[in-house]
Amino acid sequence: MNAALRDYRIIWRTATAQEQGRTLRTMSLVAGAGGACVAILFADGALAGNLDGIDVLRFLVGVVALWQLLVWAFVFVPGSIRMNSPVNATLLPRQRRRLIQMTAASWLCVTLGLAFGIGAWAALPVVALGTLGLALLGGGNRLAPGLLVVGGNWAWLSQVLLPPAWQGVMAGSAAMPMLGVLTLPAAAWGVRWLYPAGGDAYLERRATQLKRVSNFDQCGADKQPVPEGMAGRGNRSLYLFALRGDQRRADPGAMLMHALGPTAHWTTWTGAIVTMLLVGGAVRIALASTYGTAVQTLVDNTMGFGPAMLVLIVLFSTSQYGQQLRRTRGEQALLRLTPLAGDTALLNRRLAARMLRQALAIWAVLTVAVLAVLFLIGGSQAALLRQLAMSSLAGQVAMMGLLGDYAGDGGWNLELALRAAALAAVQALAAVGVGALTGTTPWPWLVAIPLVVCGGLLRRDWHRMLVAPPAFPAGRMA
Amino acid sequence: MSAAIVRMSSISKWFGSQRVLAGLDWQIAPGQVVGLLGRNGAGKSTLLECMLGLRDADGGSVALFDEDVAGLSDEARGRIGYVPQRTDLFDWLTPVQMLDYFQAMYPRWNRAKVDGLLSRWGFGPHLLGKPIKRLSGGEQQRLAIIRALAHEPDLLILDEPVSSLDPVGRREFLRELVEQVIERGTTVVFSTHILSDLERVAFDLAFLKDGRIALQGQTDALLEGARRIVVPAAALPGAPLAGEVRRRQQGGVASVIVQAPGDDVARLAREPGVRVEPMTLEDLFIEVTQ
Repeated sequence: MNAALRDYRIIWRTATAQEQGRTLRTMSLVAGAGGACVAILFADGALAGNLDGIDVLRFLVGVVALWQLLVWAFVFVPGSIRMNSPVNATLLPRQRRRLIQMTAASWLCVTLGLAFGIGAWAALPVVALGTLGLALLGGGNRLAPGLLVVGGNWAWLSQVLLPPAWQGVMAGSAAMPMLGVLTLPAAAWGVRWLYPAGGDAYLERRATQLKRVSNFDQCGADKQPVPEGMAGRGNRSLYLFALRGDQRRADPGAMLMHALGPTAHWTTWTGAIVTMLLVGGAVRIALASTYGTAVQTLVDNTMGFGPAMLVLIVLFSTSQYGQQLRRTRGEQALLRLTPLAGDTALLNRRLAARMLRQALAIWAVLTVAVLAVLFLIGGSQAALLRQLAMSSLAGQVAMMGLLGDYAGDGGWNLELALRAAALAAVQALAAVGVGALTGTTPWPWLVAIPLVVCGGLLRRDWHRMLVAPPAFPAGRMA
Repeated sequence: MSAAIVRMSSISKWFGSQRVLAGLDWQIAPGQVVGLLGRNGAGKSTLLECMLGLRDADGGSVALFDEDVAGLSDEARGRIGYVPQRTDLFDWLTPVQMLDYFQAMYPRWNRAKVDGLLSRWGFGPHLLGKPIKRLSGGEQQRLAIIRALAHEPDLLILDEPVSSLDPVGRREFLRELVEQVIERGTTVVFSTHILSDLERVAFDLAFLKDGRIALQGQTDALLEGARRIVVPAAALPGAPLAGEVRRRQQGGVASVIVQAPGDDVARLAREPGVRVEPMTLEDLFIEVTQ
């Protein structure tokens, strides 16, 4: 092995070793969920006889590239940002150069892989900019989330926001070559932003950048992120109001949940739900007042993509429980020693009942909110049914890691993520099969089947949690 | 001695292939104030966590107030105070919110005591309204101590409670511990590396070594009775001396640590080239735990 390869190997190991295993598990879950969604479409295509060998190859390459993208953007990039400290950027021989080379190579690989997987080389500039945006997001760039949202919705945003004369240039056939020209300078700027050579500006931005990076690799992350923005502050006020109420009532289950902090409290969703509904309402007003049926048709056509994105909210609606159970072991230890915690069976039952009630309520409310948004922006009945089915499936997956033996192996792990992905795929195939047999679309079945499966699994997990050792402190402070 | 308030029998704990506690037996009587000593990584925190049932021991049994630690009653839990090494204090809340929260969890809560401690330990309105995560390490540690004392526990477990405190803070804490806790008859187990603090408050010392309590006794007796005997190796009898704790040999010279020396030590001291030295707590710590 030559010196460069040795450098790459040691840098990759160091950068990826900084995360604590959880990020990789989350990536597996996302890739698994993405794979399951695509598998549904493929199964549908296979039943209709529309699949050939190249499609299967595209599918495989696409899933692998998606996995690579997630690992690169959310594991390697955050780790490498930590490695390229202002001191190392200036003084450590070769490291910065190697980081730039590795990032550029990874970007090229995932971009080409995804473009091939999608099967549309014309979309290469869009994919390239999208993957670059994700890497910048993982690297703690403040503007990246906004740019990704705007870029992802550009097709219809441009129709709504731009004067008709500009629409052809900014979103029509001329837009792709323009984006292609923009890609290389954007990539050069992005890589230099990720790995600056040091200097005062880098020193100044470093602390806030690391905070944002911690959102992905969870190294040194706060137990509770400081609430930002109006929604965050609103959630916090509501949380403190709920805390005072729970203290007055001394409700043991509610008090146990407070050990996990505001992030795992139901109030954390209120800001997001209100914002979602407000945005839906605003879009509705914009659509109704400025443009007519043409834009409405465009919106309806993009409904296939929208639900897949919104379903992620439901999919990750329980992830904060496991995360907070790991982060707040010290608080749980204090709480375990209080009289209100109760004995082992009581503590577990109280915690399980509270978490289950809260998770199911949030699943239901999120589903209703997302459906309401779709309804507001004029989604058709078919789109609403698709969304309901995806929410049902995502909710079933989300509930899988909810209850269990928190003292031991409770919560999400790689094995559970793979099982969840496999089970989701089986349910999707079952829905497609039953739909074909009954002559309906798979969607109504995809609403019903996950609910039945979820009920059975929760019943089993409930009993598992009741007979487990005390849930607090989770993982026994390991 | 009255019935032990803490009873640990044959406790063993493994982390992977590493044995941290090795069949440890330990009993603590009501009203006893014990300083737990051991080197870094000796397993002091693990021992205290197993004692409280926060970690599951791999073997053995623990009883607190004559109840199995795995099934403590609410009443027993209400009699325990604990200050962990890392002050995990709901750091997203302010001190007032955190204390209100714990007040709701305990049937007995001495509000006047809490207010008194807050005021004596410098928690003015500004600090009380600040999120705990923004307090300094010392302030967080004081708050953890106040929280643990607020329900007037009968058993107080302190895992390096003064490691972040400055000398003034340590002195205030020790005064509080003596005046408000120890004189009330509370049983205290106190691990620390600051030996001078232990000499001030701990009536008993226990040294943790190789997963067991290697030496335990009253502080005064241990310090008065501990002697280091430096002796030519040839003059040292092969059989252990009375009260021998450990023996080391370097070249032709042997060093023997004895506790409460007997007649054989007195006889040995009269031999030429033999030196018998008194020991400080630091000497004893080094010799016992090395």
